[in-house]
Amino acid sequence: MEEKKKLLEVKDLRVSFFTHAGEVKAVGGISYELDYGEVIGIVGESGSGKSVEAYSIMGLLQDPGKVVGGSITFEGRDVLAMSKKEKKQFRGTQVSMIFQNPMTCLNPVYTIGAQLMEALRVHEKIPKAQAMERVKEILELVGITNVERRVKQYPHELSGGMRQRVMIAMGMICKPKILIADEPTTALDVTIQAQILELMKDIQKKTGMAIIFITHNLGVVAEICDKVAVMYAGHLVEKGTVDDIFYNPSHPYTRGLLKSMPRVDAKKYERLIPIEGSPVDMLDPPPGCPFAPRCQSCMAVCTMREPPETTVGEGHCASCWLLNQEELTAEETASVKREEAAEHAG
Amino acid sequence: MPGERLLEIQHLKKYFPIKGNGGTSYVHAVEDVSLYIRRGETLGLVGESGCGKSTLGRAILRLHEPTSGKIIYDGKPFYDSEAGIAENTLPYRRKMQIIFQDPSASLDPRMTVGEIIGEALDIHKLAKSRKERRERILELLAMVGLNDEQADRYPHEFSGGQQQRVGIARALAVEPEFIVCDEPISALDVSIQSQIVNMLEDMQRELGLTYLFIAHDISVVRHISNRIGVMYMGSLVELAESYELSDHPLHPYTRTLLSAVPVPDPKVSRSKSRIILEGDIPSPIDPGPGCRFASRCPYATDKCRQCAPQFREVAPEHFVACHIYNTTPGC
Repeated sequence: MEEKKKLLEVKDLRVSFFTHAGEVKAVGGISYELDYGEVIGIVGESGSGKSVEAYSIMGLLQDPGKVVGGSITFEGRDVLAMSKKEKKQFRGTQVSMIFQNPMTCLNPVYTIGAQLMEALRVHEKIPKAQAMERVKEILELVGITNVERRVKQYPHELSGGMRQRVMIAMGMICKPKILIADEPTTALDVTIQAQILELMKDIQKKTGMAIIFITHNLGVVAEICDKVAVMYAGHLVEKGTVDDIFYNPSHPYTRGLLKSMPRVDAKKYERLIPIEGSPVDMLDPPPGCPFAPRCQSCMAVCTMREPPETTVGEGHCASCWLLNQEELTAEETASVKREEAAEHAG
Repeated sequence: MPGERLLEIQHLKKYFPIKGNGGTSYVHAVEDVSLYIRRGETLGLVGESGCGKSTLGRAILRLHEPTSGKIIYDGKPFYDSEAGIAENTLPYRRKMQIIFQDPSASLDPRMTVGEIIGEALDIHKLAKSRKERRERILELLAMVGLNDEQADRYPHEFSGGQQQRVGIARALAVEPEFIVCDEPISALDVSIQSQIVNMLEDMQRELGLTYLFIAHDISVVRHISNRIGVMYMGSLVELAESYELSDHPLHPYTRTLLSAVPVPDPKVSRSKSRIILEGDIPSPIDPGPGCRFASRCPYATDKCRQCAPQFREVAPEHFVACHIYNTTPGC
């Protein structure tokens, strides 16, 4: 079996937090694949589990969070079964991560140069002078000018955009195969966000690394991603290429999200179509499909059983009963028929 | 009715002092802003963080006492530094209200939602009896889509979107004419934002409200506003009717801002060329003379660095502060 190995394969991953108030199923069984050099966007609102999922790839889940099922495979290796030592080597050299707020991730009492050098020398035994050269190179790559001076500065002396560039440099310094970017532009202003997105696209092209881009901003996704996975309440409701998601959205949640946003290039005023209702209470999620209580097309079966993943097109899947009526039991089919009849009559 | 100016500000300034050992320096948060808002319209205010848009909103209500300038509300001076007028704010609070950005921080965690809304009624003595007060509270909650039993709950029992609804109900309690909406949806989830935007639009139509809508997201501002003002480092750089502004932006900063917004459409963003600004926003502490944008502007000349451009009308209802559009010699 000489099949080309996938870079990353997440299969039926389940992560729960065991709080005093009960179990919170933050990630309830998600699967996706990432190939070499691909950029995947993971989209979802706050509490949808998009960050938790990324933390579990990195092995950064903290108590009371636990992976309770599924698998994560990186180049054929089982990430979840790695020892502490293997994980330490895995993080940084294979997969690294950048975060939303660069100020809280950089150490305020060390210079930029010292922090970047530490990141490098943890993984590679190279002399200091040589490490410094690499640090300067990478800072230039992320578009920082005046590098000689910058390496001697402390984080508070840099602007927000500059700090995020340093974070990206730190994430990339050991040449990882995957960079996980957790809302890297959310804390930045639009003009700075545009700079950082441009930079990430450029670096991705130059180095060919894969990126997992976590965001709630669909505009940013359209800008940078090849593939998209849409999450809602810990479930992956739809995944596909960017064009699939934006031009042929199949899940009511994805469609709702796209319709609810005003666009800067809209030709005339149109009233927004919001998704009614409130986000799911993760301590007490509804049975069946998590989106059912807010869904315009909700059927009786939706509140009883979780919908399975259905293939809509090549590499395009969505989890919705509207797309999959074959798996319904006789009783459920009858209830759908009754509803349709009632709708016609109404 | 359209055309009547409900609120007008002239040369409004707000400086915040910073005391250091070398004397006092000033943050020029709002620098000489003049604009008017018509009755029943929505004026949007966009700009990046630190540009002074929120300070301007608060200075208009005198939540921050302005440093100098003039505020005229409904034809009467509310504040005038030259004439030494600073009217008692209490009667004006019934007419002018504000909705804040972070709903969880702007609601007292130790008061129930009913008490929070009731407090506004008490201060302005708007309810004659306990029964009337209670009825009014429930009526306000119903207006923002919350139910009776939620009146006796505390803010932490609500989701972010619901908390913002409470904030809106509190602002509406005194039956104001004018509301400053200071980033009312930025803290909310995407799917909740449109609910609040629609609600604000409905309220405006039903109650004849006038809004100053402050946000950093130009797509939302463009959607909700009749006219938009763009701020950069305390100054208003451009002001025009919403679609005119986005279709024919004049100021180089407005163009940059519009091109920086990511569009949720992969084909558009693939073909889009974008203006990328070098550098960051300079410090607003004691800025030098000249245009504030000159240090980052691709078209800046010596003139721009030496004297600040006037804010002038270059097309009907289209104002811009930029030397490019000023053909008369001198400053």
